[in-house]
Amino acid sequence: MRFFSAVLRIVTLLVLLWFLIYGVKLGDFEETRYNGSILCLSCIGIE
Amino acid sequence: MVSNSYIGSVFYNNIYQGWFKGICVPVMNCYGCPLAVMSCPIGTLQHFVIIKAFPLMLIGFLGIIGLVVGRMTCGWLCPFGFFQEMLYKIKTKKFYPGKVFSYSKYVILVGLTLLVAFWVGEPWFCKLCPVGSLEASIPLVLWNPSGDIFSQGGGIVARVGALFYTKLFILFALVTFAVFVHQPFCRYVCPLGAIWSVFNRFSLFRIKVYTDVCAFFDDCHQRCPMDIHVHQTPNDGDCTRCLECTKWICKSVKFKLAWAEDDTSSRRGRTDSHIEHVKEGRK
Repeated sequence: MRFFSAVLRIVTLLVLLWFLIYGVKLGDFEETRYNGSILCLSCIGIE
Repeated sequence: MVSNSYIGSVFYNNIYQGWFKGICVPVMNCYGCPLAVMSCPIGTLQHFVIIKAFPLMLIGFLGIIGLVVGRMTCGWLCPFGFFQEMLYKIKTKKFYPGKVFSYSKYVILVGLTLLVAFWVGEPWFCKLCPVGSLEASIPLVLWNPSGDIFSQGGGIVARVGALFYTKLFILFALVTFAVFVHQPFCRYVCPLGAIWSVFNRFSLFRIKVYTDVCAFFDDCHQRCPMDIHVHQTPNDGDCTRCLECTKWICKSVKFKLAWAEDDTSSRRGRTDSHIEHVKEGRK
């Protein structure tokens, strides 16, 4: 059980790492940068 | 401090638009703040929901942090958590609302942050977020900068309306609440905390209790800042991993790498004299 739990966590970690890397490859990084580079009027509370 | 260190904003009347804005900070930190260097994870999450794209990079980033340390960044890095911590140090009568209220943060995560953003197409959590009020709304309205990026539509102050005052009211209510209740935003509102609180139960680094010592006492929750029964549910979703419990005199609580979910265990070698010593120390 302990071994299975450890393996499950390592596999989950690897999947999440793949999410991160593949997300960057798909352009998530540029999209996040673009969104962050616009003045967030919603955050300031003005319309 | 590091994530809000773009001093150029003051000199050039603009906001940072460089490479680091592609990275999210692992805490609630508003990118509407003129000094912000990195992005807010919840603002980014809502943006991806609005454009109807799956945020693979963000899920991977938040998931890795959650799987390794759970909510530890809430307890150690979050500037808004620190702000509330300072407010709680004001000496007044303190209140401990029941555990049931802490489920409200999941409702806010799923309802306001995800579903409303999906249906309405606007980031409604950001529109009401008290972190944004403190870090972006108030500084920008007081400063009223004149750069191109700020002066569209007549400038910041000219565009202040009902939404701004609603945000201020929410912040004021939360600040008042934080004087009497420990970190109410983190416990009842924060959608980022809600995401990581799920990981608390599975994270690699976790709280472990050695029951042979702590079984004598049942007042752990009164000593825990988040009102958690540490000896019963050490890896509760509300735990921000401040590690205050690891400093208790009984030394029965440890924060360690654990590959399985056995949160409690007995430790051999505890002698009666040690237990007597602990009991004496608690008197």
